[in-house]
Amino acid sequence: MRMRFGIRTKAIAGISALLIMLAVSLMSLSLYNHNRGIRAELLKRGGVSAENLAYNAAYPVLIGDTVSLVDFIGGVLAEKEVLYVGLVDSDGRVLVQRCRDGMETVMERALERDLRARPRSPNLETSEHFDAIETRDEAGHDRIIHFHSPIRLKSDRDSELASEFGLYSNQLGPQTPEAHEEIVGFVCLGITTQHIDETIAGVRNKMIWTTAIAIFLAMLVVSAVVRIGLRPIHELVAATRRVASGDYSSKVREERNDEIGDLAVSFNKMTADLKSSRDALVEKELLEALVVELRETQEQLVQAGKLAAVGQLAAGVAHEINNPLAGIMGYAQLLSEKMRRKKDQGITSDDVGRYLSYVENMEKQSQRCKQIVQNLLKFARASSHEEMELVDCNDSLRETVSLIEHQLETHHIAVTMTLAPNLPRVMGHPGKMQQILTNIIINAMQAMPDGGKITITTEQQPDAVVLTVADTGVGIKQEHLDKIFEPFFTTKEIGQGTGLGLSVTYGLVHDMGGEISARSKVGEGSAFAITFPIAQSRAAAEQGESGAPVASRPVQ
Amino acid sequence: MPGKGHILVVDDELVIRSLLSEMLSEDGFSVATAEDGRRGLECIRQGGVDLVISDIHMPVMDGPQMLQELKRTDPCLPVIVLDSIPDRSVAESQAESADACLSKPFNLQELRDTIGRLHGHLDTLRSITGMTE
Repeated sequence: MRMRFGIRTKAIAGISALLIMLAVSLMSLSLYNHNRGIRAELLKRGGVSAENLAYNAAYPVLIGDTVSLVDFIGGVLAEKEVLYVGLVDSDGRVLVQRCRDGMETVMERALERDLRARPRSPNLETSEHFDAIETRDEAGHDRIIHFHSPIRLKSDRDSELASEFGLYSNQLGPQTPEAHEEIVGFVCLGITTQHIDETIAGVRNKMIWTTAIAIFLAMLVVSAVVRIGLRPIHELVAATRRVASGDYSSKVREERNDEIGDLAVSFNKMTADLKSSRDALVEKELLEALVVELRETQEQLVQAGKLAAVGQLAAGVAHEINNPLAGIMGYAQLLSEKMRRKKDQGITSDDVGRYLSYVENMEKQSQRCKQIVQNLLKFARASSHEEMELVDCNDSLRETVSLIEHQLETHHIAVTMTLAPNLPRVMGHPGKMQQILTNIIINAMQAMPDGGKITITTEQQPDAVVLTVADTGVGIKQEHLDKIFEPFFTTKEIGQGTGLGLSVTYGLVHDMGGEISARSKVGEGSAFAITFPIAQSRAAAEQGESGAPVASRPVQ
Repeated sequence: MPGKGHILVVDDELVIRSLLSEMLSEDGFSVATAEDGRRGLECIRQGGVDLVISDIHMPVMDGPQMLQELKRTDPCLPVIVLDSIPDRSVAESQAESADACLSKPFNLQELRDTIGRLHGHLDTLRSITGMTE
């Protein structure tokens, strides 16, 4: 499994690595410089000792004053770094040699090496007065620096002057180029680096410890700073998780005046936007569900409204059909009674004439029944999904009026029809057309409870047919006029009307591509105008195909 | 005037008026007809009507309106109502002041029986009122 490191861990690790690298580099540089300094100091000291000894030992060597030489050597050996000191004359004889305990071998080898031929390399330092090489001791632990300084005897004047004043130093000023000098021997001096190595090691350890502690403290500080610095990001991450789990109310602090503060502001804004769009979405879904429900309910109610219209019609139809039926049944019974009575007596021609009139009456009434049934069938077809066909508005009006004529008469309503001749046909459903007209005429009738006049006109416009049904009824108030086609709008008392009649009519008119409008004046009456587009193109096409005038509705 | 009685038929349907005239004349009644309630009332006011057969739904003045008027002037005059609406409850409520109610299409014999019953009843009523007078 792959390890997952947070941004905090990464930041701390990165910064710590940088810190460590920096600290170690600085420490190394510092140590290097320090070591060099100490070492240079040691070399200088050793060099000066060898040089001084060589200078002071010039005359004692010349005159073989070993007592003085032993004194000099003792003084040099007092230095703690000095391991051995030896003085050799120009003939290669060792005049004096002293060393610390255990350093005899080292000293002998050094003298031997210097007597043979001092190697020029590796030279630590070479000057006019001495040169130095470095070796390790037998154990290989400590380093030893061997100094080799020639003992020079200067010119006589200088030497005399020097002996006169008893000065053995080289502090007499620069030597003149013409000064004569002679090498009478050399000084061998070995010093150990043990002490400076110890010092260096001590300093190094201190520096390592100091650096380590500094790094540790710095890491603590870095960790704290990173933790504090990244806290808003952690808060943001936590807030993001909450938002993802659906909690849109969570906010992050915006107090910081930097990029993270900007991020917090953006995040809060985004969450708010998300919340509002989620709310809008939920609301929209709810609304859509409601709309679907409402539409279903409306459809059911429209269906109910259609049924109500059919029911309203049924009373009128029953009246219409029961009258001719009563005639047929009555005449039939009368005929059978008479024929039965006259059967034995013999039927006269007068009787036959009377019977014929009965039968004619029966036939006439049967025709009426047939017509009513046909009209009803057209009406019933409105509820089924019939195909659009060419409809003659004048015919539809006549049929509708004949269907409800009796009802109109009963309500003391006179109907005047002014129908335009040769009215073009429109595309529509004959049944729906009849339902529309029935609804509008019955609506007009209901607007005139004390009777009145209905004027029905048809007229042709350039590309439409207009049917107008005007009444002399109570009229519709202006503020109601805009609402009369809305479902459930009714001015009738509760239970008197569904308020669906006109809205159903409106729907049916629109189904056939028509328009319906109303104008009214309270106390004078209302007029409903229905406009249907003329079925020109279709009619022309059909005419063109068949080459004959378009047939009217199929005979039933 | 034949002895059996005088019957007024009020109906806006010609076929009903002619059918009932034919039938009732055959049965020995004298028959008068009217197209609507108002004309029916005029006939009744002229006097001599023993029984009225009336439709309910009529123009100008419908059956119930006419009945109301009629019962005010002559409460004893029997009325048979012919209705053409299948919903009996509506018809009955509209013709509650009628003495009998038949629905179209009706049976001729049933109508005869109803006329006979009401006519006999009227005779009895008249003889009683005549006795008291």
